[in-house]
Amino acid sequence: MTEPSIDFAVLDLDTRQLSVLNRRAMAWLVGMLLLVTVSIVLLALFLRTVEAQEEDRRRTADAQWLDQTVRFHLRRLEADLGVLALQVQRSEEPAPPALPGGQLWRSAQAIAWHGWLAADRQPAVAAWPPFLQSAARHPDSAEALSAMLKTTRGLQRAAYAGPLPQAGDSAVQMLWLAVPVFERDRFLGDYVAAIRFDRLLDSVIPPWFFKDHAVALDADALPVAAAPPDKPSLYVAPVNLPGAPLRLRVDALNSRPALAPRIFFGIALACLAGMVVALYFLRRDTARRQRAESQLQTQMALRTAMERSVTLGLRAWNPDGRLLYANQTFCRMVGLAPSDILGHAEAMPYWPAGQGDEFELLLQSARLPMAQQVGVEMQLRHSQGHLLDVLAHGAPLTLGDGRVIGWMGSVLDITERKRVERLAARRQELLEASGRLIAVGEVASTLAHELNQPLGALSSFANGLLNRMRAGTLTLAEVTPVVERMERLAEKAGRVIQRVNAFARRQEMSLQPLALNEFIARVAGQVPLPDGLELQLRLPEQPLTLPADALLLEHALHNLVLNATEWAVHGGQRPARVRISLEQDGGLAGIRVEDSGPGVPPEQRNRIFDAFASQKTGGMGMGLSICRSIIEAHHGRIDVATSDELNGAQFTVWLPLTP
Amino acid sequence: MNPTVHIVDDDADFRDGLAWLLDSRGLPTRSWSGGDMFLQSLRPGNPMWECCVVLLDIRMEPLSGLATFEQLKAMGWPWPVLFLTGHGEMSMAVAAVKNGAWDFLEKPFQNNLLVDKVEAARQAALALQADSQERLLFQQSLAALSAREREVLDQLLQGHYNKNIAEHLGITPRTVEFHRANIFEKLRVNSAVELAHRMGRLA
Repeated sequence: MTEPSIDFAVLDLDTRQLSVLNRRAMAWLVGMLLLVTVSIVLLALFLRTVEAQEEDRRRTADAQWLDQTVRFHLRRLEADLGVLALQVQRSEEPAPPALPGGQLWRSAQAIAWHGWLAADRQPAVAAWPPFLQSAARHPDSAEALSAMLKTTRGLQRAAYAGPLPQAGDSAVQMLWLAVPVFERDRFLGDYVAAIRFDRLLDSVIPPWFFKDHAVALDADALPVAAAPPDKPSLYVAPVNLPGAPLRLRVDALNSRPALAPRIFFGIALACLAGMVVALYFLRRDTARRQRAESQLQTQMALRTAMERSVTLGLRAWNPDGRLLYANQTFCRMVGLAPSDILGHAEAMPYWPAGQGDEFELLLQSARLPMAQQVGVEMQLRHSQGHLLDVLAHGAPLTLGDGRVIGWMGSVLDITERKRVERLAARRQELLEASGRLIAVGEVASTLAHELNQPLGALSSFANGLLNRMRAGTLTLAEVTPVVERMERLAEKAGRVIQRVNAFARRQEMSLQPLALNEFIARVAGQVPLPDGLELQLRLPEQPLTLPADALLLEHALHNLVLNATEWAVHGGQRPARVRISLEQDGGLAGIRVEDSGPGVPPEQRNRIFDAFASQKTGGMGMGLSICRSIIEAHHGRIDVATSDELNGAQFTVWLPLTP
Repeated sequence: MNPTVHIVDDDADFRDGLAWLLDSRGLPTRSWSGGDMFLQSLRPGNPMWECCVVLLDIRMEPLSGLATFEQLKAMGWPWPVLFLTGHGEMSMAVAAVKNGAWDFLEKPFQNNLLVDKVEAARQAALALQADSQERLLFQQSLAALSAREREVLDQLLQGHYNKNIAEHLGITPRTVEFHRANIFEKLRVNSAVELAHRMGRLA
C-alpha cells in the first residue's frame, strides 16, 4: 500500500521568508567570494614582488660572484705574467709558470698569446710583435691597445683592453692584459697577454654555473641589472677591470623561481579554491536544507492543522506504556491539560477504576488480525466527573525495519452515539409497549363493544319489562317473546366471551407462501445480540417454501431466538453460541434453535409451554405458550430437547410443507 | 305533538330492546338498521322533518354514527341527535357533542336515566319547534307588510316619533298613526318596545 504523496511545494507557506534568507545568504556568499578573490590577487602580487626581489638578489649575488671570480683569476694571471716578465728580465726564455699556476694556464688555449713588449718598442706599432700588430690593425683596437700600454706606464699597474675582435676572426674576442715591469721607477716594458675571451669564461667559471647560465660578452650595451622586456631572464653583470670595463651578459637558462613561495602560494590557492568549493557545496546544501526545512515547516503546519481539526483523540505511548503525546482533542475530551496527562506512568486521572489497564487493552486490540480490529469500547472520566463512552483503536508505531518504537492510539467519543442508541432502544421499547397497549386497547374495545351490545339489549328488555310491570300495562302475551329474547341475548353474550377467548388464542390467519431461508435470516438479523455472543445460521442450499402467516410465525421464531440469546450467556461456555438451522424431514420443515445455555431440565419440559410458567425473572410466561399456539395454528408442533453440540436447550419447530 | 324517537343501530337486539324500553315509557319510536337507511328516508317535505329525536349508534357499518351525523348536519338537520357510545368511544362522543350533537349515552346504560335524557331531548325539540314556528309566522307577517308600512317600521325601529316620521316620509302624522296601527296588528304586538324585542329575536 502506497500512500498518496502530497506535493507540499504548492503549500509553501513562507516563500517570502525564504527569499529574504536567500538574499542574505547570497550577500554573504558574494562577500566571501570577493574576499577570496582579493586575497588571491594580493597573494599573487605579493608573490610576484617576493619573486622579483629574490631574482634581483640572486642576480646581484651572481653578478658579484662573476665579477669576483673573473677578477680573481685575472689577478692571478697578472701575478703569473709578472713572474713571466721577471723571467724575461733575467734573459730567460719565458715559459708558462709551472703548476701551481693559475687556472687560465691549465685550460685549453685560454691564453692565445703572451710576450714581452719592451718600453722602447711600444710607441711604434710596427715595432710590436706580430700578434699584437695583427690585433692592432683595426684602428679602434690599436687605440685601445695603446691606451692600455700607456696606462701601465702611467699608473704603474696592470691594465686591460678589449675585448677586441681578433684580426681576421671577428667572432673571437680577445681580452688584452698588460703587466708593467719597473726597475727602480724605470719603466722597462709590459708583459702582454691576449686571452681568448670565450675560453677565459669557460676556464674561470665553474661548470655548475654554466648548467644554469649562458654567459657571453654583452655587445648590445644593455643597462646593468635590467633585463630587456622580451627576455626577462637576461641581465648584465659588470666586471670592472682597469681599462676594460667588461660587461657580461648572463642568461639564466632555466631560471626557475624559488619553489617554496610558489608552493606556499599554491597551497594557499588550493585552500582558497577548496574554500570556494566548500562554499559552493555549503550554499547548495543550505539551499537544499532550506527547501527541506520550509517543506518541513509546511508539513508541520499542515500536520498541526490536521491534528487540531480531527475529532479523534490521539495518543502515543513508548513501548513501556508511558504516555508521550496526547493531542488537543483528547485533552478537550477528558477536560485535562496535557501536563496532567503526559509522563504519568501510574493510574491516569481520566481512567475510571475497574476497567483493567488501558494500555494492555489497547495492545490486545492492536495485536488482533486486521480483520477483527473493531476497537475496544471503554469509558473515560471527564475531569468534571461524568463518564464518556469511547471507542479506542491501537496501532504500533513501526520503523522502516519493522522495529516497534511505540504505540499509537485513537479515541473516538461515542457517548452521543451510545446515548442516541439508548434513546432509540428506549423509543423502540416505548413504541413496542405502546403498540402492545394499543393492541390490548383494541382487543378490550372490541370485547367491550361485542359484550355491550347484548348486555345493553338485555338491560333494555329487562327495564322495559319492569316499567310495564310497575305501570301494570304488561300482558302475558308480551312477556314470553321478550323473555325468550332475553335468554337468547344472555347466550349471545356467552358466545361473545367464547369467541374472544378463541381470538386471544388464535387470531385469524392469512397463509401465504413463505421462503424460509430469507425469513430465518431476516428474523435472526432483528434479534439484539448480547456482547460476545456468536449467532450461527445453518441454512440448506435448497430453498424451502411453505404456507404460513409470516407475521405470526415471525413473532414465534423471534421469541424462540430471543430466549436462546438470553439463556446462552448463562451457560458455562465461552463464547456463548446460538445456532439456527433449517432442515427437511419428509413433508415437514424443521426450524431448530439451539443455544449453549444451561438447557431445559427434563422434568420441566412439559410445563414450559404453559402460560405463567416463566423461568425468567420478570417474565410474563406468555412467550412460549403464544409460540406454541401460533405453531399449532399452522398445524405444526414444537419439540424441546438438549442440543447435541451446544449442550444447551434445543427447540425444534416442525411445520408442514403443504397446507 | 309527540316527537318520534328514531333509533339508528346495526344491532337488531339492541334496537329492539331500546324500542321496547322507550315504548314502556310511552315514547313513540322508530327503528333503523343503519345510518344510510335513515338518511335515505329523509327527503325534504317528508314528515320525517317533523319534530323528532335521533339516537345514533357511534360504531356502525358501513356508515358510522359520526359520518351519518356529518351528513345530517350538511342537510341542516334541526333536531337533537344523541349518540350511543360503548367503552373507549367517549372521546369521539365528546367531540361529536362539541360539534353540535345534543348529548351522548353510554352503554350499557342506567336505562331509565337514558329514557329521561331522551325525554329531555324531546322536550327541547318541541321547544325548538314552537320557537321556529313563531319565527316562521313573524317572518310571514313581516313579508305581508306593504312598502309604505315597511318604511314606517324602519323609522319606528330607529326610535323616531310620529311627527318626525311624517316629516321624513313626506306624509301627514295622521297617516303615520294609521300605518302604525296596521303594523302593530299585523305583527301581533302591543307596543313599540315589544315590536323591537320581537324583531331582535325573530327577524
